[in-house]
Amino acid sequence: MAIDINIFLGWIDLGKLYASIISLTFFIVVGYIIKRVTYRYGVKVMPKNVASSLSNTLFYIFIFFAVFSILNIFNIDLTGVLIAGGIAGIVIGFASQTVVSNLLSGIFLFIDRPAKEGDPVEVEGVGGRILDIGILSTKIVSWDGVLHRLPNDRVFKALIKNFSRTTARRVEYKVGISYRSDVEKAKKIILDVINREPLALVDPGPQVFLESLGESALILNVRFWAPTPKWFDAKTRVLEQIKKALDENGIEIPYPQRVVWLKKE
Amino acid sequence: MYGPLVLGEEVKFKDILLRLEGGERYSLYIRSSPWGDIRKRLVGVEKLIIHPAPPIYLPVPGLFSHIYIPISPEIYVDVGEETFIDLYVLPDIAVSHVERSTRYIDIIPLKTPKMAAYGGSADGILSRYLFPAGDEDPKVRIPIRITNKCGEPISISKIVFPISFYNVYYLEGSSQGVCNSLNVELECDVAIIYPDKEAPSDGYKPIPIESTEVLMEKLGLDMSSFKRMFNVDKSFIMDRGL
Repeated sequence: MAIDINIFLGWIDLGKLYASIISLTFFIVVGYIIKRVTYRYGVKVMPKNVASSLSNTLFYIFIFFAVFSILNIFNIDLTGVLIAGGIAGIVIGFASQTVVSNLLSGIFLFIDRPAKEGDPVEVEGVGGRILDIGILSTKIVSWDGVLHRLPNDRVFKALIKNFSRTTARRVEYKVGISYRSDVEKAKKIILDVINREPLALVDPGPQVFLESLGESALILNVRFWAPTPKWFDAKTRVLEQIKKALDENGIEIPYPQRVVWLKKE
Repeated sequence: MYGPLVLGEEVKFKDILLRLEGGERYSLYIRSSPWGDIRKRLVGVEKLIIHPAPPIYLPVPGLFSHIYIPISPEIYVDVGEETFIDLYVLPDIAVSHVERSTRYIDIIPLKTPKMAAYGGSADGILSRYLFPAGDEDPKVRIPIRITNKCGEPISISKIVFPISFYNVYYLEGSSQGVCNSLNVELECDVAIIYPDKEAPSDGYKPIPIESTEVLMEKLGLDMSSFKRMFNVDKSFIMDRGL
């Protein structure tokens, strides 16, 4: 078709205009399909928010290249645009290096998967449950109910303690008994308490041993393993039972003591 | 003694006394035990059934999916040898309705139910630990066939398998229960465990429950992780701590 129309930029071949509109529609539809397919398969292997960000990013990259190819139909010289884009890219790159760092860390966190949403963790001294691992930041609700937002690049570099990845966790107490107390008797009482606790595992078994001779007490180290989801319940319950059992059996848990020698003239 | 518990009668298992008393409008189920006493009013119930329970109970249901039986002293199996052993374990006791047999009224452990981690505390699985039964205890017998298919002798100190392998049967009028047979094939690095699903024929009854698997689902056990442990042969691979 050799009909040209005059628009504000000059004369445009109507055929090329139709071709560009059809191409753009086609690219948008294909881009949309790519976005939907990426999201649909993405949510099966990654968190929803990551899948959504990834599919949107792919969509816009696809549309960006589609627009460039359409501009090519009109023989528009893209060199200037590319140079301007390059300069803008450098400026934006410098300005957004933190954002990019967080973004990449978010992707690496997703690949490495040190934790997932809902896991009890400790990151950079913040202990709590993970609320969300976003593309830029990770949100943790600490045990006292405060929301902490940590940039992903810090999370990626930090020591992450994940308390839910193991089958069982060890409970450990240090119990001080007086120097007058019978150590063997105290050990037996404590072991009996642990053996009565259903959540204390038989294998690995519990351990009670004299750890040190303290300033005011003999320090017994008490260790047993409990299922990770019930670790805290077992820990608190058994400690109460140990205190009760030691009291009932006359094993004294002493206060800090000082022996004072008075000098006589 | 397993079997029916009718109005006005009582049954004793170790330190546990179970009674069913009659009332004008309802009957009263009473359990006296070291775990505490329980009284339950039951409407229109004149007979209950006492039987061994599947070993899936803990104070918190859903924590484990496998059974762990210690073997002490450990069993030495020579090259190419086939050994038959019976393990006797302490059961939990179940009390259930006669008509609505899938509903338990009470479950009583004879010893504090405990767990063990199989495969290490860090990366293992949680298993219900079955205590060996003493001479005077009510017990469940688990017949086991062990075959050594490795070229060297092997000692076995524990057996671990999925709960669904454990189907328990009981003999009315006695305190004896029996589990279906388990087959343990010892390879050099692993043991392959699979159950014989056949029930013992000599008068033993299956426990009145739909199936252990259904009960596990009711208790909220994680069936997805549980099913992952199976391979296509419906056998469990025990790969550490033979």
